[in-house]
Amino acid sequence: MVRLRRTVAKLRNLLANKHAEEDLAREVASHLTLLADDFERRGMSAEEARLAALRALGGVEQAKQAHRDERSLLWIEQAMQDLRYGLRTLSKSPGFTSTAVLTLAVGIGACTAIFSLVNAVLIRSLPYGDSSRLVYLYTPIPQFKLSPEVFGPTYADFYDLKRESHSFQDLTAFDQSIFSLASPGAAERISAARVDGDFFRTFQSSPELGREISPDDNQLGHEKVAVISHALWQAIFGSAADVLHRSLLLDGRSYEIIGVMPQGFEYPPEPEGASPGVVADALGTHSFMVEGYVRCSHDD
Amino acid sequence: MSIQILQGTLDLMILRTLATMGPQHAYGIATRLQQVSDDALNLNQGTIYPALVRIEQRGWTRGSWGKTEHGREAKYYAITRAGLKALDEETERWRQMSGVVEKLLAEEQ
Repeated sequence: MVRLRRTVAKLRNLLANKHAEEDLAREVASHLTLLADDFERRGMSAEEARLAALRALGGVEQAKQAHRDERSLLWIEQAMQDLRYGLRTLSKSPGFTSTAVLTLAVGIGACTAIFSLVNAVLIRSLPYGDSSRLVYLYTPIPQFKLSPEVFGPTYADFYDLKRESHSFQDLTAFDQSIFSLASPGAAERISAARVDGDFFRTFQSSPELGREISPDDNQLGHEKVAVISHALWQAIFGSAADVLHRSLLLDGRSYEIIGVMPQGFEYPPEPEGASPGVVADALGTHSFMVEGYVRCSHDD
Repeated sequence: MSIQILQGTLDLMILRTLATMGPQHAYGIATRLQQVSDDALNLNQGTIYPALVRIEQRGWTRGSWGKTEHGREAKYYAITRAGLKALDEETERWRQMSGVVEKLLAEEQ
């Protein structure tokens, strides 16, 4: 309690230092006067008494400094002095100061920007089962002098791979795109992916509500179905329990909602803060460009 | 022979002085300490300032400006209720401490 009281008093001193300093000067001056008065009464001359008073006090500045050390949080006070000195020095050379500030600002800004990107792309692990064994599959086409990552396998290649290759535990084809989602009174752009029936098995994720998209849903003539993200479920349906079998209007077409993914699952991966919009709907038999997201299975 | 003030005892001596004599200014306190010690206490009067601010910040004394009998202005320190309580505790602690030291020294002889 006593210690707290002192700390508070010391902090207050930082703010009212000028007052404390004046008070101290006044007190020391009065002390010297009283001492000198006494010496004069004992028969000294005014000048002798003044010097004797100074001697008796034993160093006015030392006494004041000891008082200061005791009364305030010295390190804060010194830091503030250093800070003020630094600011004064900087303000004397505005050219140097602005160059330094700009350099720092650009440096810090660039670091932050790059880190955000690296964090999103490389560090934050994908929110799917064993994400370290997930790979993208590409089909380089040498005639086009483009990077091999531009082309995914064609449908035919994809089905060949799926049937013939033993290097992969599961293979899934999908197509990411932006849809316009119509809700009463508003339309929203959300990102989504058309997927095949092996998507959820490949990603080792399943819905918290309802069922996943199965190979059956990919058959021609079947109703269009969608699995929505947790965030979308909250945003559009207010987490309603009866969301299943309701429908969603995407690009003017109606999709029946068959599942809701758990929180944390997001696909396509969104930069943080993007609108909730993870929807997987059944990949039809229309000719989409196919990318292969595959899962190694070397059974290691 | 002049003696140095033992660390931490100055607060106790100042509190005792204020409790005995009533409100005093720094000069009054320092003079009193010198008188009581028969001038054996090697005290630069300025050395009591840190102790004064320390005990004031602890709430054991309250300082206010007033006039001396000769019409000079001076800052008077008055002991508070918390100060009296602290004085009791510090006195008790000092008695125990000095008792232990005294006893030890007596046995050594």
